[in-house]
Amino acid sequence: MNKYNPDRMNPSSLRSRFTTRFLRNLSKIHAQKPSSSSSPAEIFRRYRRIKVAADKSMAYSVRSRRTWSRAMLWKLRTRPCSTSIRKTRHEKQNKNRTTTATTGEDRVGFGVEADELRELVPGGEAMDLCNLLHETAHYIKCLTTQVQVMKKIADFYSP
Amino acid sequence: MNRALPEMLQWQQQQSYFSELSGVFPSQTSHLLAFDGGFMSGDSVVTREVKPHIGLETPSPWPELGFEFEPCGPSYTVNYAISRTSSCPPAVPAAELVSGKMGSAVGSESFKKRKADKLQNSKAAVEDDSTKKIKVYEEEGESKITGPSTSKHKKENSKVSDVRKPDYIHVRARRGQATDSHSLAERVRIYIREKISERMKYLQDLVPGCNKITGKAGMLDEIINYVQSLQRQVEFLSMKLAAVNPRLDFNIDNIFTKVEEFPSVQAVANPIHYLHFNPVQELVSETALRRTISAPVTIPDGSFLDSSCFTQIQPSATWDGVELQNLYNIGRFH
Repeated sequence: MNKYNPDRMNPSSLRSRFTTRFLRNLSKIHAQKPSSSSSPAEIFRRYRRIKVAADKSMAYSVRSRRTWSRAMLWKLRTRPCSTSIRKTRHEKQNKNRTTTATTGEDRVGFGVEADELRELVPGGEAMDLCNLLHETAHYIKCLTTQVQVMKKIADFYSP
Repeated sequence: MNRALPEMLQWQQQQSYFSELSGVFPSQTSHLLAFDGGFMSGDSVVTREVKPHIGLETPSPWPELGFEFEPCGPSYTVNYAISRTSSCPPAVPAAELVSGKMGSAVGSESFKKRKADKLQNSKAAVEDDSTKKIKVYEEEGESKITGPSTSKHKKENSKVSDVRKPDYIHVRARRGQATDSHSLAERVRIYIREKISERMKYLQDLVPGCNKITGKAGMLDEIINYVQSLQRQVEFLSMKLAAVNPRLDFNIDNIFTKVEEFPSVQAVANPIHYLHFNPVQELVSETALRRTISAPVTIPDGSFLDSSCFTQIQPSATWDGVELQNLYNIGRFH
């Protein structure tokens, strides 16, 4: 098969950015603990860390250009240190935004599904339907990239 | 009252109105010339003095506006400068076809302006008005002219503002036309709906298998399912990566070159895996797949990779890299 490498052609594409970051984080995680111990608890802990690393790499690849990435970065930053102050402040902001963003006009026949989508997409609670769809599109694109890259890495490791 | 009076006068004094307009026109050509070709060039304004109603197929970006009121009277040259401002009753059908929203938008602008400067409008004020209107008009058109403006044209009757005399700028509402706020709100609503449908179409291309579904609700459901499945896949893959034993040659460059090959091949398998399942069925079949491979493990819905679930799996399942690979392959080639 051809050795065509599309990401070498475009080193600043989303895919390559995510790949480099994720591989770096992955190597860090694997370097921390020698994976001789394959106990499920160990694996589970590592799984958690890898999942966070994946999300973090993806969010950092997108930076603050999208609302969902900003929301995800915020979530990742405040996750470990559960300070009550930061959380309440954010909750207050969120509440204000939700009351203003979702007017009656925006719910033109979308009702329940829009709320579900809001839960899925990070930072979706504070967006009106139009922006929500826009963010969803970009989020889907990034998720597919993430899945493809991770799949390839996994395949590379387990022949 | 102030509003009604000019409108009545409008109907009575059409001929004199146009003659006065012709007087106003030369003063406004200078303003026209100041603009970019986005509106129309000064040359075209001048040369069209003698042309008859050409219709709407001209290369200028605002053909509708320019020719809107042509057949009205002898001096229809003025209509260029005052295209948003003038009209005559016979031109109504033509006007309807054309840039209704722009006329009404600008008409509303002029309406407000008139309210503000009731008695003090001099010629200078008029010129300011027209320039402002032309500018507003340009911006609006550039942003919205590409949209499905034809439907709007047919739907909405244009509200036209007239320059009757050098002092005033009036708004003449058509019969049965809603007031300003209503039509503006309506237009906003239409715009939002168009944006939403445009984005739904884009999402339809992104999400595989959405072509058959036509309803908005159904498509949203599909989108939600797709996002959920993608997130679950990420979790699953990270689990797999956690379980796998890295080889000694953890060389990033090697991995990179290998990883970036064939970007599109893998993508095909996923949608196929996803396509055949309804949300409930998908979970069931996923769990069924896993049950066939691993030891009998209860995997509750949605909490497949939760900690509680994991402790359940702990005693019985062997989450080896091999088994994960099998699981994964089954999912992939389904």
